[in-house]
Amino acid sequence: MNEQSRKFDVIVVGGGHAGCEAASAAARLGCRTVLITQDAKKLAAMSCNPAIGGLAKGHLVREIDALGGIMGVITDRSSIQCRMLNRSKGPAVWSPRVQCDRLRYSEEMVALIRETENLEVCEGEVVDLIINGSTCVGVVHKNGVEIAGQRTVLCGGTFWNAVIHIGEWSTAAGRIFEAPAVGLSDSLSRLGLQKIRLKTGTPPRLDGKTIDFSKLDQQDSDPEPIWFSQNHPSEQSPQKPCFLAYTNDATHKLLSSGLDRSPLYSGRIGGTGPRYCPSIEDKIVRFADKERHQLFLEPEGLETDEYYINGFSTSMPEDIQEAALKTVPGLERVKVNRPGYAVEYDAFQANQLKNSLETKLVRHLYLAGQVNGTSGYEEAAAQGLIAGINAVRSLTQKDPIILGRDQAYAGVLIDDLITKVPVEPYRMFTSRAEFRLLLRQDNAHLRLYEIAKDIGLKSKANLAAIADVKNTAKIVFIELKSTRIKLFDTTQPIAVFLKRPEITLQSLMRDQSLPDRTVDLIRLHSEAARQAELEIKYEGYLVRQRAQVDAFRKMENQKLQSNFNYTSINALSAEARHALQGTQPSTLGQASRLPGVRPADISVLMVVLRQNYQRS
Amino acid sequence: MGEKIQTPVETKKDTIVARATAPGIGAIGIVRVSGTEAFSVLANIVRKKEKLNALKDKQMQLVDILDKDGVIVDQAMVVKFSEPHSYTGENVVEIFLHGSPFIISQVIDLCCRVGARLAEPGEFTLRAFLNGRLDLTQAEAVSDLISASGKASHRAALLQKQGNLSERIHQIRDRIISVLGLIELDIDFTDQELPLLDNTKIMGDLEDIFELLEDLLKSYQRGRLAMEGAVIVIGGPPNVGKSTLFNALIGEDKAITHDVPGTTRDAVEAMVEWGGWTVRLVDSAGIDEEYSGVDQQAVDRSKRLTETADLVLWVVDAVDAEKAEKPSWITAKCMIVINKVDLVDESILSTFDFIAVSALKRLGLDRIKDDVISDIFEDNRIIESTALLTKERHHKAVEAAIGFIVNAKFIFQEGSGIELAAFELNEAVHKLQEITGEITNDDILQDIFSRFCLGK
Ligand SMILES: Cc1cc2nc3c(=O)[nH]c(=O)nc-3n(C[C@H](O)[C@H](O)[C@H](O)COP(=O)(O)OP(=O)(O)OC[C@H]3O[C@@H](n4cnc5c(N)ncnc54)[C@H](O)[C@@H]3O)c2cc1C
Ligand SMILES: Nc1nc2c(ncn2[C@@H]2O[C@H](COP(=O)(O)OP(=O)(O)OP(=O)(O)O)[C@@H](O)[C@H]2O)c(=O)[nH]1
Ligand SMILES: [Mg+2]
Repeated sequence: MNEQSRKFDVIVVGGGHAGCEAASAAARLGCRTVLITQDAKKLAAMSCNPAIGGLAKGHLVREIDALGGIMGVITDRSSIQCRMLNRSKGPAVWSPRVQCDRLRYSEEMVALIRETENLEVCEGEVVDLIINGSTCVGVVHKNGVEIAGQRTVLCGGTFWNAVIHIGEWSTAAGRIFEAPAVGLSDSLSRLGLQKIRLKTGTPPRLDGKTIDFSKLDQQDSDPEPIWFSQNHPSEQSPQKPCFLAYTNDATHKLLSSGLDRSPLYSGRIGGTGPRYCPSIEDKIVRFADKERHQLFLEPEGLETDEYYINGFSTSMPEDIQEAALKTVPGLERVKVNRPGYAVEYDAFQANQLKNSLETKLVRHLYLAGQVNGTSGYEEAAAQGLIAGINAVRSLTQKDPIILGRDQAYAGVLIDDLITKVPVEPYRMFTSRAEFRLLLRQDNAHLRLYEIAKDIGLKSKANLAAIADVKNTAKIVFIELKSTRIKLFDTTQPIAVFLKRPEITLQSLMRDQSLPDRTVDLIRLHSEAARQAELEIKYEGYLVRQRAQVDAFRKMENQKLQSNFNYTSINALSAEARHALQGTQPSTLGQASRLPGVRPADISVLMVVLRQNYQRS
Repeated sequence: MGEKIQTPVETKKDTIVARATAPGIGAIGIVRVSGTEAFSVLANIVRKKEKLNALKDKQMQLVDILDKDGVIVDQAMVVKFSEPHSYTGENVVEIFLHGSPFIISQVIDLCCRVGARLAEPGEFTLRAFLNGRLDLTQAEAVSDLISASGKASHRAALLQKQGNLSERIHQIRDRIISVLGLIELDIDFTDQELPLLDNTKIMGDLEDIFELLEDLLKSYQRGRLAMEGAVIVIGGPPNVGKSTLFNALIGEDKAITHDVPGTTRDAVEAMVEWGGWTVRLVDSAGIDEEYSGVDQQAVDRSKRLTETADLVLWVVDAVDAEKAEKPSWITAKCMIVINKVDLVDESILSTFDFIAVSALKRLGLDRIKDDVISDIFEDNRIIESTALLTKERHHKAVEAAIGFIVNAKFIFQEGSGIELAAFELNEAVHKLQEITGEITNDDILQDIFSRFCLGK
């Protein structure tokens, strides 16, 4: 790079799921962008299981697509098995999950990034930041070269000061066989950001040729393809099944025998791991009376025989891993291609960020992904997208995009991150979204339409298609409310019958209960019809949930002054004073979600606000 | 963006003063001072202020209060509380005076001369709340405590202030949350090997929760009787002596009596205390089905009065004793009282099981009091350990929570989407937390703080 070419609008550090979204968004919004990453061939590598989506994460991916991100596109191109989870429950908690061809996923990302205009990929490691006053103005490459950037987005993943553990062996590495990134995390600490140490783990990869599948239960893909993106391929790639296996007493005995050599139990791992995703050694210790644990064998790709064994995350010594696996029926002769391992890494307390994901301490510096204390590709990608968008918006003097908890899971995610102090890596759950009846995976594009238009990443054609569904849904809604049909000896509008749990548009069509005109309308606009159907079916609940949103908005709309001295309000509890002072929430609603801030403190703030309001 | 940015400001921290006991002449009157300057305010109105330096917290001290010219106003006991260990959480001084209204107002004036300010209504409680010394239910109870008229209502208010209700609500809330936990687990970990959601267990839990809430709801009747007192309406045909009985029962000639039927037109009320319970006694216009016009209107009004009564005392003239019976249109509890027994031969009366009195001669009145107490209050005795709903607002919230629990049960029976059941249970939790103030609602605050009276 020559002197001139080392000046960029936006620098993105780290080509993981967060970094790829951030870089792609910034470039497509017209900024000259560079993506600096340690291995340019390993973009968006799936460090852990080869699947995208799942509970609540599937919602995130659909939202990413709705906002103009790329995760959905890449997933659709590399899908090898898809399933809609929770189908037996209501549509609000349905979640799509897609098994991907791991290699293909990364290749598709490399290709997409390469063909993106304004986007340069630079291989290498960033070891420091260039700070001018309290503003970040660029980064320093390991080879000493300085790269100037008006905005910088850091997406270091699990790589900062990372150490991996397998049994008694450990080494500095970000992923197995990959070097860690050292330097950057320390420069953030020097700037005053608070570091936390987290850990996560991954299971072994197995050679499928050595697995006896006849002893395992098979789990097939859903018959209908599931797509995340509006811009999905017309045909699905061939699908591959998953398999179920179970541990037994012998497995547990073997694992127990090796506990003294486990880095988790010998105290060599200090970082905090996720409770919801325990290692197999954790499971046998904490749930000692459970007779067996379920394991999923997930294919890693179409052209490989490798299998990922979900549920067997471990950092036990290699010999124990292999011996324990061999006690599982179907895996008696299994060959382990790569052992499972645990990784410890640096992350940063996200309450040091604004809701735009810019750090409060250093201007023009953004953090996204695992480094903010989250875990998961989807969580990382959603943050990367928002950080990339907001870096550009700040550069072009626009207000940042801040998604509300009532608008998107991505909004819940970021709000949680910046208001809560993490006790473990943060993962999305549907129960974190208090308005989840409204935030469905099926309506992500519709509910985020206005915001997507404002952001400007979505193509005109995509936006027009969404607007069309929005409008047609209203037409179908009226049709269903006004067309009366005769059923069970009564004549009523279709909508009335639809409210019964056992009746759906599909069942009405199947029983030929609908007039031709209605049938044509539904056939022609199936997505709009689905929206209208859900709107009618859950009308009562949706109305109530919207009322909750209104109450929530009332609190959110009470803006608080930034840089306010809360220590002067004696009436607040000491804990609340500390939390409010440190975080400087932007709204009363946000204040109420800070840990240590009790409802009584919020009452105090409300009274104080009102006293002040009355006086002025 | 266009929204108004509100800036929290420091709360007022000046020192306030007010009478802490109800107005009127009592044995003693208490003046309370609260704020950073409370101790110096006291020091500046007493003789030998050095005595106060050695005074420990919560210790009584006899002092002479002097006016601006150094003349003794009163000899008083004073006690001080240092922040944060006081009612308001600030420095507090209490001055126990000899109860004359004149002395009290003179002392308040003196305090104001030396740096205190007259407190606004509810300001002491507001400060206590702002300083985290009281939560919302407790703050509400304080305003009840001040207006409490009988012993029972005083106890109910005290119980609430001690946090009994909050505790109970928390217990029930935690049970709902544990059911919610099971449901959320089933939703968010559907891809893991979990035992199937045990519908029978959940239905059982919901049934228990339902009953706990119903019990709490029933305590409202008790709580309300204790706080507001029982409403007892005296009804009956014209000229049977209702007003005379009313006057006899309250020990005061408040209602007009006359031997012309139709004397009473508008209802007359009075509060009395019977055995520690508060009773609101109402005298109503006589009821004659033949009446028309204005009289007819008065009759209608009397009938309506009985609808909201906790008890109707149906008075009948002794000469009509054998025809006495509870009129079928009375829906409330009813006791028949035979009046003017002085005019008839008492031996006739012993054949009936009615209360027999002579309002004029004040005979048999105690029997009325005793029967009323055992009839409406005894079942509702307040036991120390119970949580009571005493507020209409609380009653409504519990009622709503019950509705949500019922919905959730229905959803489980129907099998129509556990995420909807979760929605209902969340609503129930929110409703309950509204009572303890754990969900902050501006309207609730507004309402509560507007109802405090001066002093506390
Ligand atoms: C062992 C292991 C187990 C995991 N287990 C789970 C799990 O069980 N469940 C789950 O949901 N998620 C799991 N994950 C997490 C998942 O991989 C991450 O959440 C996701 O990849 C995070 O995306 P990211 O973009 O933040 O970072 P990553 O995907 O980690 O990407 C970071 C990228 O940045 C590059 N980089 C970092 N620092 C620098 C630098 N200074 N200069 C240049 N390049 C740099 C790295 O080379 C890498 O390419 C696991 C990850 C690992 C490694
Ligand atoms: N002898 C006797 N006279 C009574 C007694 N109680 C009331 N009276 C008389 O009965 C008359 C009517 O009494 P009130 O108290 O006015 O009767 P009331 O039921 O209020 O009448 P209305 O208001 O007109 O319906 C008065 O002259 C009373 O003095 C009683 O116990 N004995
Ligand atoms: Mg009368």
